[in-house]
Amino acid sequence: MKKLLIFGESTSLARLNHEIERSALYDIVGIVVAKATTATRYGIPLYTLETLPAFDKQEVSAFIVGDEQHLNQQRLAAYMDVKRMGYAITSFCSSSASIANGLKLRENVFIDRDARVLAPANIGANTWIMQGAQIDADAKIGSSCWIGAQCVISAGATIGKNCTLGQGVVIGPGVVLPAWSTIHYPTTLTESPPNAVFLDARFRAPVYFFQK
Amino acid sequence: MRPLLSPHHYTSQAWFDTELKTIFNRLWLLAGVTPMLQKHLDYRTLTLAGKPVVLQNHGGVIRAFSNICRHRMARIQSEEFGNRGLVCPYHHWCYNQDGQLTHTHKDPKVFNFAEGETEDIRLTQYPVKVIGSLIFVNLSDAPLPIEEQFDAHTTSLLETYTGQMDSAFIYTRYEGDFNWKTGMENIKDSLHVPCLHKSTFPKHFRVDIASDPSIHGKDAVYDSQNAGLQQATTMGMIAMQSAPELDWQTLVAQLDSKGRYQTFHLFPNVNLMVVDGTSFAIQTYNPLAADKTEMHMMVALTRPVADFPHKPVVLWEHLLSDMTVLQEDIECLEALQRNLASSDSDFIHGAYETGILDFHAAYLAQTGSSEPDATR
Repeated sequence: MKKLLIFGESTSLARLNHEIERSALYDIVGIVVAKATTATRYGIPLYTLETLPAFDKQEVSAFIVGDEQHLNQQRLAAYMDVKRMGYAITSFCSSSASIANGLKLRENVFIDRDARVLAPANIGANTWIMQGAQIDADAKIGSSCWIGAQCVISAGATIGKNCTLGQGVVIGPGVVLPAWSTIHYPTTLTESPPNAVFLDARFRAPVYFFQK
Repeated sequence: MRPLLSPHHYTSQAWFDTELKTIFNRLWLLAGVTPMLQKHLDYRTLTLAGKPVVLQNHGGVIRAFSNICRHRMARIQSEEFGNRGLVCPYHHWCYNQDGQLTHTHKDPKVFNFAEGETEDIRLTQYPVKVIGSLIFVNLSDAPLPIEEQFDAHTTSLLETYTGQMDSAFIYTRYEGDFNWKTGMENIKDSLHVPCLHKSTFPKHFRVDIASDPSIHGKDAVYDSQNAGLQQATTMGMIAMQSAPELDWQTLVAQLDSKGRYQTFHLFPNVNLMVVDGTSFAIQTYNPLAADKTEMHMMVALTRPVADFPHKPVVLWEHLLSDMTVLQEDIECLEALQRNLASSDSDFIHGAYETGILDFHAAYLAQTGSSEPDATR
């Protein structure tokens, strides 16, 4: 069983730990948190950066836990920090996810349970595909995205980097969603927006983001 | 204190028509910022004083036109923001950078205009003035010089500060069922912040509202010193609470207002904030009806001085913070508006509200009514 060191403690930690346990692919040797108030969590040793033992980086790979907060940028920053520490960063796919044969998953990609990824698909590093999401053939998803539960990324669609899709968003065939787009309620996009979109129930009109 | 405005100023169609005519069709109105229109053929549409207006960049020059085609009065530009020439989608009538009709149909017989007949067909053009990054439009046939509206000191500060505005920004609108004046009064009312926003404002903003001098030390009797147009625009400054600098603030230019929350209340309907010398928040209260206002909200930072890839996060969270607080304002103002419609009593003002009374005095002066109850 391969050894895995987890960095971070967001609300996604319980979900990830559960899926790793079920997969029986990894032995989690520790969880690195900002402040360790107990010695263990889920029976796994807790460390801070100060108390982290010198694991053999040839033997132990890393995975960074995070959520979609701050448009995925906290997860990205943690990912970059761990990369600089010299750990090999793995991807993780739930044993109940259905992904196309031969699909190569990049660093820190997480495919949650019951998600389906058809071939060919291209998923950027540090992108998380959550429970029950479907990625159709020829879809491209940039790095550091969050594809929420039950989302559908239709055939040939392109999701720019750093996008956040809440639960149940449907991106239509061939639609190109610009980088940084953020959609926080279930909706269907059938046309490519010219600029990044920020859709949130708190706003009564579209939010436009311009960066030229 | 004796109020200058009564509830009917906020609810009556006659007063709304009067203020559209005497204020919004006469004064310079903020219609956008230059980062919205950076490239050739970039446009922005909006409704000002009930008139559909398009701001259009032609070769770097921003002009304003009526967004109504002269043929069948269809809409020329359909989106709120976009990039295309002045071509009406209905029958493809084309207009040039001066708003003059240049093309109707490839077959001249379809319209069969006589020679020279189309030379005088042009879109109504409105004067534009750019101060820093702020684009002002005047809808009047005989616009007053903008110097009569904003004094030299205000203009100079706006030029200096907004001239440092970054090209990236985040923008949205919000339609609320309240009169535009209550929106402006609300931003001049410092006391409501520690009351209405006691649980949200301190979480999102590092501004010490208690230090705002407008809350304290005013006379108990209101004496309007000068209700002139230039004096209707006011500036304020509140110290930021001491706190560690946010990480992104080292990545952008710092204005000389660092450490301060600087406000410009541009008469009639703009609240422009320069926050800690590193970001701008602009709110415009655009009147749609006596009881309906369209707020335009925009957040931008000062120009970057270093690589700043996570700028969208900062802008988005800034806008979310604004929206969280504004949501409380809007709910309050919409309830207030419903009460105004059924009220038979007047407002009761206190000493700290002289800023609001100054706004009322200027409003009455611009509408040509020195007597507050003249049309009641």
